[in-house]
Amino acid sequence: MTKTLNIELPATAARKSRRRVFLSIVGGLLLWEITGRWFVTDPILFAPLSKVLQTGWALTVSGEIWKHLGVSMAEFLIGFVLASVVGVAMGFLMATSRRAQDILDPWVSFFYSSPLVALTPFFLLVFGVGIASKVAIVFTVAIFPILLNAFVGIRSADPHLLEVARAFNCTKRQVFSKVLLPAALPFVIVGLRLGIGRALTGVVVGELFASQAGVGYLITTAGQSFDTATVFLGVLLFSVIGVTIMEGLKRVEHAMAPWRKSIAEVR
Amino acid sequence: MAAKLEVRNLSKYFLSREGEPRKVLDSVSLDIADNEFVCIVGASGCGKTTFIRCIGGLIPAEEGQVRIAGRAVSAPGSDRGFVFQHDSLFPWRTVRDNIVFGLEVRGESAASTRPLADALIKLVGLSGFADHYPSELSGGMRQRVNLARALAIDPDVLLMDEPFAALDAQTREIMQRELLKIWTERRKTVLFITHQIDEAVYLADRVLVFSSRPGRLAADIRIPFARPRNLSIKRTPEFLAIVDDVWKLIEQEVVSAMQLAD
Repeated sequence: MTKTLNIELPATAARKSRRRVFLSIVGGLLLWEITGRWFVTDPILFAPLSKVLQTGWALTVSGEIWKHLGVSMAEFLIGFVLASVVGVAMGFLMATSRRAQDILDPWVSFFYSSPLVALTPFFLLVFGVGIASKVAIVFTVAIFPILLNAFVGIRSADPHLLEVARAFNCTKRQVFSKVLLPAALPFVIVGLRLGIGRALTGVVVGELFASQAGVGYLITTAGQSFDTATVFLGVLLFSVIGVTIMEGLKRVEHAMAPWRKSIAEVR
Repeated sequence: MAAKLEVRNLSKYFLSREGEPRKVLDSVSLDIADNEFVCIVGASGCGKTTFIRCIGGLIPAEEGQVRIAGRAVSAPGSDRGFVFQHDSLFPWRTVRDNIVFGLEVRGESAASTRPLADALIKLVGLSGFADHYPSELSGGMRQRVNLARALAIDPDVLLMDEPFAALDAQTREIMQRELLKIWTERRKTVLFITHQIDEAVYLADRVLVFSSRPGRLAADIRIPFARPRNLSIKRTPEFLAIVDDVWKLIEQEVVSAMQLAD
């Protein structure tokens, strides 16, 4: 007689796990709706999901939402891409040149730990209330985690692998492109992920402070006219932007670093 | 016959913590003939890894000379293929891409190296694993790739630095047999470092015994067993007698190395 083992198959466990995630999301949204509809009915204090979606639909039909989304996305993308390019380049420079490291390191450490978003009023004074000031804020807050992770990534390349490169007579350029760069890639991705979070905060803070358009502007003006549903809509839009970009980055990571996926599969 | 690998009076110094130069290799000289398989054994810390790294050109030697096929060398070159002790495969490269690394560095295209890569994959017994990443391989399989990568550049001399040290005992035995099989198919001049005496005696035509502090050549023992060798020769009295002779030469140093470590 064979004994029946009471062990769950991985596929079954995964299905159960997916179901729990689904129920959690649906339950949370329901809770939101129920609270707004029957418990906190004052429209200034709260807004149910249906009301928020309704507001969103109205703004979509009028086309206003695209204008605000477009401005916020432009601020985010320009600032973030600039921060990525400059940050990765400077991080690599610091990691490969002792001199650059000595000169830059104290400043990078200082700015990395500073709440740079507090410079927002300064950037508004310098660049005005338009898109440029937000780009400057996004760039400033996003660049340091990106820079630091790129630096650490190059530095943490396995010395054994560098020795292999030497044994096979690699030129300096080949050592960089064939060993240092791929070794640093996972760290660079982590830096970009941290940078995305900070960049979004930069957009929000900048727009809340002073702006003429953008999702933050939408939130501020709605708040001033006691329109809580639109405030919630704005926050929801920012969340959707954040989740979408993080997902996109995950795709990029899988495409650029397939060997890491294979590690995850083996585990 | 001219030696494939000639080492003349090689000495190496390290700086101690106080900044004093300390001799770690003391005027080592040796000749290895074409297609000869030579193993170096010694207690840990005897300088055998330093020695092979000097020959590979990975670290400079202060005194002495290394010649490969008559040419003096002091930097790494494609006349020597290095098989590392550590798991030194590039995790972001598949088995095939790891194997052709040395060729790619020389500027050869992926298309031109593919037939050779496939032949080497077959030779080291990894058919079907060409597109796997190192993280998907066992320790023994990774060292097969390590070996194939060194063979790919078709070096004059194969330098192997304790390549099986990190493997479990059974895998190590299998890898020793596999290595001899591969070496029979692709004759190479091999310098193989190990701290395992039975491994050295099983593999080598000659076993060189290193003594410690500073590293010196203490004995040169010719291994008389005919090839091909079966793993079962490890249990013959003749084999055990040679292992015992080598053990006696380094026993004192192994013991004192362990006491130092305590």
